[in-house]
Amino acid sequence: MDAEIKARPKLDIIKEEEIKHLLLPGEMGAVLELTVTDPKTGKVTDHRVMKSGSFVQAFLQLLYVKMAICPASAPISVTDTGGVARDVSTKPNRGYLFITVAAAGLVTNGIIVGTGNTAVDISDHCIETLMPHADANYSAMTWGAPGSDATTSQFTLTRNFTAVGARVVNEIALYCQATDTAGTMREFMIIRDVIGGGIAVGGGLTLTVNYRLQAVV
Amino acid sequence: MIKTKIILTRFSHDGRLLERREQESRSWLRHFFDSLYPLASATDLPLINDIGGAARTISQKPADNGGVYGPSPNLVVGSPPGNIQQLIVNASVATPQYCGTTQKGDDIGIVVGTGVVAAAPSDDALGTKILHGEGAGTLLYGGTELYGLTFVNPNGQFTIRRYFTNVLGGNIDVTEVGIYSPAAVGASCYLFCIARDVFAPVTVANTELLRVTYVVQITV
Repeated sequence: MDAEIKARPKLDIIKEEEIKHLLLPGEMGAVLELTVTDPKTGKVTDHRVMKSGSFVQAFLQLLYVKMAICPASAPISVTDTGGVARDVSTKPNRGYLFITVAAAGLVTNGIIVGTGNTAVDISDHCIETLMPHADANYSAMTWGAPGSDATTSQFTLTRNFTAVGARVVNEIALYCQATDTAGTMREFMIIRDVIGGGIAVGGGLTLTVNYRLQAVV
Repeated sequence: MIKTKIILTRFSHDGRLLERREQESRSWLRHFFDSLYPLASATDLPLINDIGGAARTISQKPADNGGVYGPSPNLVVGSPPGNIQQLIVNASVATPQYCGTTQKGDDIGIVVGTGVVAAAPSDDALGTKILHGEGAGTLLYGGTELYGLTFVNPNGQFTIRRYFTNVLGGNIDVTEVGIYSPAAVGASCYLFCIARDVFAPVTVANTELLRVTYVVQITV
């Protein structure tokens, strides 16, 4: 029997609900936590926590639609992940925004990974080079309920990716769904981050991506 | 990253600028995420305190209407003036309808108060909200308007703004501002405080106007 398989997981894995204080007072943003784990042993081979730099244009546009209750007669034009400008508004029976629900294998919503390394531009509307499910075994999306401490509030979006063969992830994005004024669900990219130097994920290893949306008073 | 500026501007009754202050807001609270979470995850979120301190389950049932995602009042900030009712469409019933509990315009959007305790992420409301009115200790709330959605790489921004008029309130020291927003709770909706900031008093005398402006900015 393989002793490695029987090994207990290491105990230094960061608790999922622990709040990392990387943002400054007054900032609202995301903290990106990346953990590479061997699912057979539980051993963590890489762990990084960094500021996510990059809410992009669609995030602010969708937040504006939501806050301003934009009517269908005065929609906001938002470019979807296919590069098509879509009119988005709030109207009865439609106007649902910010949905990040994604089943296992779905690469069109939720947290997405890729291999592009071009710096983020605020007008970016999709990941540069998608890493397909066949290469990264996308899990279903999960969420940690909001919490707060004395200075910081947050909630967490999580997705696991298991590499099929050795892979390097250079970019990570958060896609969400919203309905356009015609009532059709569309996908929009609201965050994109480029990881300097990439993060290597060996074959069979799992990359866990936590986007922790935070605000600091 | 998102940063928010608050600009407090005081005018005389004939529109002369009397005072202007600009400061970084440190105000986004946990209830902002509490309102966003049900949208993002399509799941209900229990035991969230509304502005009255009552625990509510913020609901979001996106497949209720034959699989069609419904609308949601969560994070709505735009509002009509004062006592004019805001009709909020409820997402959590089979047929989209207006919430049974409509809200007054002055209870949605930018609100001002006299509380002095420092903001904490878990705040549920302003310390002491100044009520809408024309009498002593009250201010006439205008509508909360949003405008100016613009982008020039690497930045983007929009503005949230509201005017408050002191009709016959006597001198009023405004020491806190915040943002109240509704969220769906079953077949109703309730109000939640998503932002709050405290600052040195701005004294608004009879006939003067106070303009509160939030500039919400992102930078990649």
